[in-house]
Amino acid sequence: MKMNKRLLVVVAFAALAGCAGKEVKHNGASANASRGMNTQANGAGQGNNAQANGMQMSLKSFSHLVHFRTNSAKISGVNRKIVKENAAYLVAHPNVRVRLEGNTDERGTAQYNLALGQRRADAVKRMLEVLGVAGNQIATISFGKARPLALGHNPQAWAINRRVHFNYKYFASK
Amino acid sequence: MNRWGRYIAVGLTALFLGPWARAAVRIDINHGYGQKFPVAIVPFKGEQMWPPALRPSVIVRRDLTGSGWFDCLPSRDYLAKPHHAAQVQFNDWRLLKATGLLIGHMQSLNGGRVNVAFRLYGVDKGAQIQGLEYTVSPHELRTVGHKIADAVYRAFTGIRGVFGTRIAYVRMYPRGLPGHFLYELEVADAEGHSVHVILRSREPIMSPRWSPQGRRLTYVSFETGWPVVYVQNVATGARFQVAAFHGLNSAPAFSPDGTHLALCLSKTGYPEIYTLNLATRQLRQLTFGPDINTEPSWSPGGGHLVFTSNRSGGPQIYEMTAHGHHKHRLTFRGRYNADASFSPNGKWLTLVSRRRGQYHAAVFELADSTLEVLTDTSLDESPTFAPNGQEILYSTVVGGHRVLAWVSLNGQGHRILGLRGGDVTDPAWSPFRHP
Repeated sequence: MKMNKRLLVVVAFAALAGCAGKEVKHNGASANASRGMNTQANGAGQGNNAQANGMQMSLKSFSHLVHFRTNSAKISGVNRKIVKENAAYLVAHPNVRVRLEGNTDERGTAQYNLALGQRRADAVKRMLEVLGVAGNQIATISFGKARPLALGHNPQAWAINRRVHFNYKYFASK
Repeated sequence: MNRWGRYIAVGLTALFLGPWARAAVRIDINHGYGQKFPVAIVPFKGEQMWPPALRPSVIVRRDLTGSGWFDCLPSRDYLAKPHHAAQVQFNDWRLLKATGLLIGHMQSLNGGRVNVAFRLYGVDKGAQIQGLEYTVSPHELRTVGHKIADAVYRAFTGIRGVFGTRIAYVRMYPRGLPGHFLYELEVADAEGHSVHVILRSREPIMSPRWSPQGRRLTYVSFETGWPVVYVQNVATGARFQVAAFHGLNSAPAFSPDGTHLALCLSKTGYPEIYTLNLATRQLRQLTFGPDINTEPSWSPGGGHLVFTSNRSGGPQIYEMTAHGHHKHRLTFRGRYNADASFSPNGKWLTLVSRRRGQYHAAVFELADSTLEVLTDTSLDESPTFAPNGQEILYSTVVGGHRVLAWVSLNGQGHRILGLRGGDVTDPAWSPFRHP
């Protein structure tokens, strides 16, 4: 069972990474991540790895922000690890719902950016689902360029603003 | 250009034109190079008892100067200050090299109404061009000022003036934690005065567009927590929801006959363009496929739509019929062309085009597919044609803030609209108002 889960995760990542065009690198990264979960889960008894790992996590122990390259909705590099940590938490807490809020930087047009922000949120949602999170735990929304975190008009501010925010408070407060 | 040539070009561009190399963006205000009409505007008799913002000569002077077409001669140089036809000596004005002369007077009547009269003269011919009289209540005085400015503008340029039209836009102020703002949907006159707040919200408001008669606005508001498209009557405030589907509800635009909206929805999982019959609520999907398709805009006749799609990789402008047929790509120059809308005569599009990493308001001529950048600024968005087709209003960043700026297509200069406070985005210019 353990092997099957691991295999599933790796296969899923191969599929995602295939879209991103960097198969080998991402494949290796995901295998490492799975091994990491395995060792951490040793003392937790039964249950699957992600869940055991997720049960020990608090919402504050991992980042709720993933970032993107200009005009891109691809999740790459350190951001894949952040999505995995959020996925582990959501798998372990099936009653928790999250709102994925897609945002863009200020460059370009408002409504194209709104669509781009939606694509970013949808890309994170698809990756979460591949990682075993139930679809009904996830909602997506885009704010486009209308809610910048950094107010500057420079590349540093733009990098901060190209983000999907895992908003756990939205449904918790409803 | 070959691969290396392109890298070198990009490198040089980064050195000389990169956004960080340019500390301050400069907009030349009325620094045009074409011919301007020198006109004399005599302060109206009796206007001194009114605040400057309501004085006809002040409004007319500001409107005409701002249009870029007129050189309003300073009143301290005037040899005489006539208010009535009998007082006008044309030789006084020929000495000043004025081609136009505007005089007038205003008078309060019993019951609080105000009488305003003006006469416009052609100095060269020594003849009156137009004379009109208005009797209005004080809150209509700005409208009268704009009407007089329209009369002068039309007499000299032959083009209908836009001083009586309105603009809608969104203003945002930072409030509370980073990423949180107060948003206001506002309507003002084309000069940015007489501001009315239509909607105020802690959640984003986006992309207002006018109905063809200028009575209604459609826009996106997130006030429920989710994006919803509304149609609202500007005068009464009455409004109704027209689209609140799963996913995006965005980029609404009235058809020229006012019966339909084009808009972008993502209820299928992908951003696609639809038309919505406002009477029957019937939806019709016009684009299909996994790409981004958004920012629909109707041709003046209503037969076609232009839209932004990234089906070729990056955003480019496409055209199709209003039924979704005959899709074809219009823009090929540059790798980012988006948010196109038609000029009133249907011959041009205004859009945002990226050149060397800078986002400019631009004009695309449909007949010969030429694309001309209009601005020096680098973060332009939402360009919108004036209803007379002579100017484009857009949002850009100047001095660290988003402002609205005008650029006139006759090459007579750029200028910034006097809206103070917050960041101003998403402008939409109203059509001419039909009385």
